[in-house]
Amino acid sequence: MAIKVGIPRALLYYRFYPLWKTFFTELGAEVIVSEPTTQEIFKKGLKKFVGDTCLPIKMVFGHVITLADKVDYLFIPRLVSIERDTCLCPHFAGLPDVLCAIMPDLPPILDIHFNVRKKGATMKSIYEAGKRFNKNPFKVYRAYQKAQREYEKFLKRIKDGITPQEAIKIFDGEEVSPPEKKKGGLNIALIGNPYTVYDSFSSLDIIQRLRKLGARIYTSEMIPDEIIEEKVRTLSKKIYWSFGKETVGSAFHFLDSPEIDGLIYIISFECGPDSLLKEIVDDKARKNKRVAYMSLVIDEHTGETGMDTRLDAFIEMIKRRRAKK
Amino acid sequence: MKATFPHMGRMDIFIKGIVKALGMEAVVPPTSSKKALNLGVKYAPEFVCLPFKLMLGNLIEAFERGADTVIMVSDRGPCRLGLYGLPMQIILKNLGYEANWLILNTPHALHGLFQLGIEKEVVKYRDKLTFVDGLLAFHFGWKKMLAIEEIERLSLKIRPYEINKGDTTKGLYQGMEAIESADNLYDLKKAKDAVIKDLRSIPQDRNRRPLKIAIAGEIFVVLDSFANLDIEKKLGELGCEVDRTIWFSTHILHHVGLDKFMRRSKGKAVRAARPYLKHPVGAECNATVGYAILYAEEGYDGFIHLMPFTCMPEFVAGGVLTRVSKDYNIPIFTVELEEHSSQTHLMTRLEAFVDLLKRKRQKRQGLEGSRGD
Ligand code: SF4
Ligand code: SF4
Repeated sequence: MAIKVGIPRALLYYRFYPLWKTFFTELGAEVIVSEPTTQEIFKKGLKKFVGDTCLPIKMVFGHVITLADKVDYLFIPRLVSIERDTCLCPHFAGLPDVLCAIMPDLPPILDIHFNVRKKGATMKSIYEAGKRFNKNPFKVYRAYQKAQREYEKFLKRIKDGITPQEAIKIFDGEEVSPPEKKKGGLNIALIGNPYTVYDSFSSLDIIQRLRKLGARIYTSEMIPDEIIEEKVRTLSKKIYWSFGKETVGSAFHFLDSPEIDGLIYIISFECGPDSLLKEIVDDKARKNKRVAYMSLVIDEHTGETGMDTRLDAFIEMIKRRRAKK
Repeated sequence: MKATFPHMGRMDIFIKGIVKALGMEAVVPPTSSKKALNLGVKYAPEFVCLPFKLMLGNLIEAFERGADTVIMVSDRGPCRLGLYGLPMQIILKNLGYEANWLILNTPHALHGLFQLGIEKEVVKYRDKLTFVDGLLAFHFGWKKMLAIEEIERLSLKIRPYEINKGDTTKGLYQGMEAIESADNLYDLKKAKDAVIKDLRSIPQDRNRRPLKIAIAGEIFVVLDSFANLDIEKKLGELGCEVDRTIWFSTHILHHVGLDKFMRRSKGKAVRAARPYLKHPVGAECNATVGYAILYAEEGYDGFIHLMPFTCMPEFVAGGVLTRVSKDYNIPIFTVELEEHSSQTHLMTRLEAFVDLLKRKRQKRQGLEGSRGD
């Protein structure tokens, strides 16, 4: 029987799933992903930890618990950094240890230090990840190359204008009908940590809500790295968080893009990096009279009605600005 | 140029020394208070960690008193400290305070000092000063800092034995003032010796056997008695002998690599944590976990873990500590600190914690007693 590897549908799943899945499947493992977050999954994770933290970290506990008795290994990579010069927030470097410490009965955690975005993934770390499934380094490396190719396809699909959720569906072989382009429709950009924005539990499915209101969605994944680099270089201090840099860089880009009508910054309450970056984005957006901007700070108590009211008001604001022109 | 800097415990004593050494005028913000906190809370991002809010409050108060230059320490992540500066600049600018920012891009004290020394702004103000003057004043600031820490350490040892509640704290505050006002090394030594004598002569009941508790966690809240609601004093008055794991001086010594030979260095703590934390997480996280292990091995009765609300590295530490607590059989109490934290609430929880430790000790002694029969 194939070895079962469990991947929580949380955190960097929304950025790297096609890579991980292809890699493990190529090595003969069976990949099991937890179900999309629900209130029930979320509640399972509560009370497990000490102190309070951001919604995405709270959610991952629930996902891990639901996977625990279904798999032989849990894949919780210790993603310290996903590109040179930047790192992820401290939660990522500690997550596997926290899970192990709090729930000692979990299946073994594959906590390999993956470093992917640039060519940085070393042969050694790739082999570390793969050797439990296949001892042949050559096969492991080939599996990784295949994974990398799938991953690049996935990234390209996103750059062409669909959301990461949809690109994951396509990768999994599902049909996705591209959102129709309506003439005169509103163009709205969404920024924030991918796992906050694309998890439909935490973001209350904001993308579908906005589409229903007739908006076309833009995300930071669609912006080329070079543009992001160029935009953040205008700041006096380097932003050393990977997603933080993406958020701020793409916010600045969207604020300068003539086709964008509105910008929404989705933040998980208690997110450390965003608490500071919001100040930087707010300041820039305040000075911009053309693009409508709002930040949505969400937590598990955010309700659908509250969200709808704010979105309606936001759309109204955009329409008013348009009418003035 | 009037330079200011945010508070962190009694760091002001040291920095004031350096700022003066560089020929600048220093505007020390008023001691952290409800007022500073409220200002910080009002203008800071809502869910940013407590140190940011207090520091922002300090700076606003310093600007009100005419400061025009800010000196801030920064780092390269992974936590928030390194990016405190940028949002603070934006917030203060929007409040109408234009300032000159000297951001020291490293927590490494000597590098920082060097960087500060070659800043254009500073050089302008320094012409009359010789290198030796600077060095001497730096040395004096450091000595003052050490004197303050010495009497603080002593107060932690005496407080659980004091017969009249509050004596030690009163003596400590008076002592700090005396030391602060010393102008030269001779006066400093005299003042320090006098304070030590006074503290020692506080009426004490030496028959008590105080519980031993160590305090660790995020550096700002460990060092800053306003931020941690005077937790050392509270525990002392509940009859506990407290040991603090981080001091301003040990923090600096660690950064220049001179703490290696100390009994409980940060490096040792970080190594002790290795079985539980396989990677450096950031800020004090790994050390916090390691200290719990080191103190448990020394036979301490309890361990207090201080973390600002939403603090990322200490959240990780808190999770791992639940395991350490079981493995080493040491009760650990994590205290989350934020602007709404209340003195009475903390006191009630500390009392409960101390009770637990007392019962545990009695049980252990009972067992040892019966074994001895
Ligand atoms: S970046 Fe923010 S949301 Fe993501 S794990 Fe860190 S604190 Fe949580
Ligand atoms: S260590 Fe904690 S308190 Fe310090 S900057 Fe990071 S989150 Fe804030």
